[in-house]
Amino acid sequence: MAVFLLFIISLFVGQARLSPLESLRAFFRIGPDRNIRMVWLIRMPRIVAALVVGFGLAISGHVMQVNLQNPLASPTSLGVSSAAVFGANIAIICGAGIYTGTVGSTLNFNNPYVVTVAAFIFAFGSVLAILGISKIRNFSPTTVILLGVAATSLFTALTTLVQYLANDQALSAAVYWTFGDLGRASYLEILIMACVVFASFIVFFILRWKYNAMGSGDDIAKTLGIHVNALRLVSLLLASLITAVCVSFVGTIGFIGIVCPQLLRRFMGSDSRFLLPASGLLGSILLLISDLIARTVVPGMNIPVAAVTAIIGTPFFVYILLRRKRA
Amino acid sequence: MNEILNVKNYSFSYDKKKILDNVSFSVNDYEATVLIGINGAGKSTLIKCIAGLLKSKVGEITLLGKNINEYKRQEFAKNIAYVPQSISFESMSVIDAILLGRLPYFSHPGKLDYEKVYEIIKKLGIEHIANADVQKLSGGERQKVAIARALAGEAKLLLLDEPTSNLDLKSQYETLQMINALKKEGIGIIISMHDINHALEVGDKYIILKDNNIVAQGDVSILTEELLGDIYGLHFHLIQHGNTKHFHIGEEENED
Repeated sequence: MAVFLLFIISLFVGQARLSPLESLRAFFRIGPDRNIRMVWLIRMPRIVAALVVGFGLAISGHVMQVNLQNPLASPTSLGVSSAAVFGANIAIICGAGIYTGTVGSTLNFNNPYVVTVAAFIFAFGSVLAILGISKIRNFSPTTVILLGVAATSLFTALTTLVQYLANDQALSAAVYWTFGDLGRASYLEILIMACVVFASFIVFFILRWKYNAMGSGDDIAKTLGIHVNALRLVSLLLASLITAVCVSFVGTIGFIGIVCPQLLRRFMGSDSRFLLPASGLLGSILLLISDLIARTVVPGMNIPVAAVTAIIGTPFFVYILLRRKRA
Repeated sequence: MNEILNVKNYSFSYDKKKILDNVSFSVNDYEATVLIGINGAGKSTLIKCIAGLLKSKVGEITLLGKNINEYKRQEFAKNIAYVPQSISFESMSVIDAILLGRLPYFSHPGKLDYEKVYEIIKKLGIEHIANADVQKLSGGERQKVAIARALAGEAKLLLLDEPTSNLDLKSQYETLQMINALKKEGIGIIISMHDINHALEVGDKYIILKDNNIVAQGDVSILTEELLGDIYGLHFHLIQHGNTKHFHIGEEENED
């Protein structure tokens, strides 16, 4: 219900001064072409991208937290974001995405697909490398998390080095890419993200009872007949795939993946049967609200949605933490 | 009585240090076998080896006549259940927590699985907490839920690692009663315990571990003041009323 309401509000709100009626008519492809294009080519892709990316990052965060047995685990725990940023930076600075100016505060890249593919290759490559090395230690959660921290540091350092060597134009484009922007994704890209998110969600949902058993520790899970290492490998791989795909298409969007499952855990317990879909829905809602604010808070300008998610989410999260503690 | 488990010339080492050295014993159905020894004697390691959580190539463990390494994981899980010393659950209802014990049988629980869970809840007398959040229960209640989860898998052998430690007196008593009731249903039980008097309440057979080895095994007659004094470095005084044995424990007297 909340998702539907936000969908409607998001459809009505934007930089272009369309009335709610005009927006609604344009949604049903009635009225001037300009309005229809505005709704279907600018607003709708953002809304659908927010729904898909928010859902994906939140379920990815929940699966990471369960499998790494750590409440601070997030979709980027395996260094996905920093690796994607490094990949995109390399591509941009090597000429695939030279800054060509802003249109409606959106940057244009000469060859956006090369940037996206480079980001994905580095993001997923980092995940595969970490899981490969972790295999030596039987995918111990501590080893995976520490390798993720090491990978993040390494890619951050490499990104700094690459940016230091870049010219001003390339540097601007590279830095801009790191800001999460839902308007960057086309329908085709949204479809790719939706397929990955939906397929992964189905797999996670099938595994929900096994995730509940893992909450009692690896030993208990093993004596209940679960192949813990295989389950952890598949789960981390899919959760990271979701993140790698989303980050490659829309840039880095933090906070959603770590906070949504944690927030809901305080209200509805840690049963993955309910927490998994609920986290996904909250992720969609939070990202839709954030995008709505990002598009409207400064007239004539879209501010990075990733900044909004953290700015509105953090105080809310702290409030929930303190309120529950007092209760 | 039938043999459920046989451990033959089994050794286990960790980081080149021997934790278990050439241990051999067997466990029957309708019996509780109590492992006794100081911390570090190898009780928990032995239980984990039997549960398939630790593996060694030296010696052999057979469950129902089949080497435990030859079992598929789910098949093995149907025959053996393990309750660790420290118990943790995700936040969920007691019913759902116990239902996890049926995981070797389902990917999505069916009517039969729920029936089995309700049957165990009734048997253990925990109907009043069936819908409670398992994380909000007392230590004793959580212990019962952990045992219920282990029973839900219909295992032939139950492994309990120090089930009475960290429990209040009433919960200790109830846990011991529960173990005695389970024995009568034909389940073979291996329990590691520190409290000798608790061991006497439930044990049919005793295995004394010292310095990574079994120094004595057998029925209650092996539990002598001398042996226990040697194991624990304390003074044990046996008090016997008819068939009931009880040990009074004090510090070892100085010989000067």
